[in-house]
Amino acid sequence: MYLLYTDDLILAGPDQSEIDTIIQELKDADLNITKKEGDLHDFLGVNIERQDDGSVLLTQPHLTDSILQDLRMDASTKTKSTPASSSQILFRHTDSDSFDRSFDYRSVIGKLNYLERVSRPDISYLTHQCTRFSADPKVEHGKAVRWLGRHLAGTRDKGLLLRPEDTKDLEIFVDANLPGNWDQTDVANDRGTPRSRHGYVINYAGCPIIWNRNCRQRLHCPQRSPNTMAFLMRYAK
Amino acid sequence: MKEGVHYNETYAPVASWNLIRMSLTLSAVHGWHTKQIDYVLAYTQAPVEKELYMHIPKGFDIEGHDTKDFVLQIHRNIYGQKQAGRVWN
Repeated sequence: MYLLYTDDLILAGPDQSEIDTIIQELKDADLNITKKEGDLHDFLGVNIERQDDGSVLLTQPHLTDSILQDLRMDASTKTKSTPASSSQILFRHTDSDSFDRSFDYRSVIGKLNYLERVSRPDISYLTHQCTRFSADPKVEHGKAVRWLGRHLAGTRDKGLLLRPEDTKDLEIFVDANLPGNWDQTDVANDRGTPRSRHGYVINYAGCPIIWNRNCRQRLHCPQRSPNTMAFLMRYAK
Repeated sequence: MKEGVHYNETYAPVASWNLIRMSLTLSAVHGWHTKQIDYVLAYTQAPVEKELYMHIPKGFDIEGHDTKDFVLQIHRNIYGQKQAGRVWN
């Protein structure tokens, strides 16, 4: 198997000698292109670690550090055990004060999204929540990102562990909430509150491969269960 | 830079993370060997796509002449060209 990202390349296959042949051919074919090679360790800024039991661990400590730096946090920061407050849902918060710009909201959001896309499905929901309000962040949104930063500070060496389980094949998990975050008091200002949110994760052999989360533009047909709809949405894509 | 004049196509292949995770999982399932290759200064190893010229960058002098009177012809695919990623491939 051959994975190419412009000038980064991963080769994977059952036969070590075949891989070596390909590398040799690459060397022969062009002038002297392959200068550095080795077992998988760092691909596009992501640490790829082969554990002794054969499982693969993906972590992004450098990106996490860079996010913490942007948030002016370091190792001594008080950490949080959850990515977000369980009691507060983010809305547009039109009446609140604007975010004080103590960090670059959009830049941090960009980094968080890359982190989430690659190795941290666990912060998926919150990054999505914070991303929605990038256009006009308020105090609440700034606080939520800080909270998430504290969580990351305590989990910077954690990432995605791909440990295959023989008994499992392809699995899809979906969840959705119909307008569950409906806030009647604010709906005039914030049309986002009645939107349905859904998310899914697709596992292969027990390892998360694809995940996503979203807000629906349209209301769902009420007869169908939200879970069915999330499933259908997946296939409508 | 202008499309059609200085460059034509800019597509460069990238692997999606979904695919990378899938491949890593597959190699873990089947116990495959994995190797990584990183091309050093990859872009400049390809010849330039079309005839291109550039101003002489600051810091370079030509004895007895004004650097503004000269341009450099580009021979290698250098970083910063829009098509660099594609030409390399």
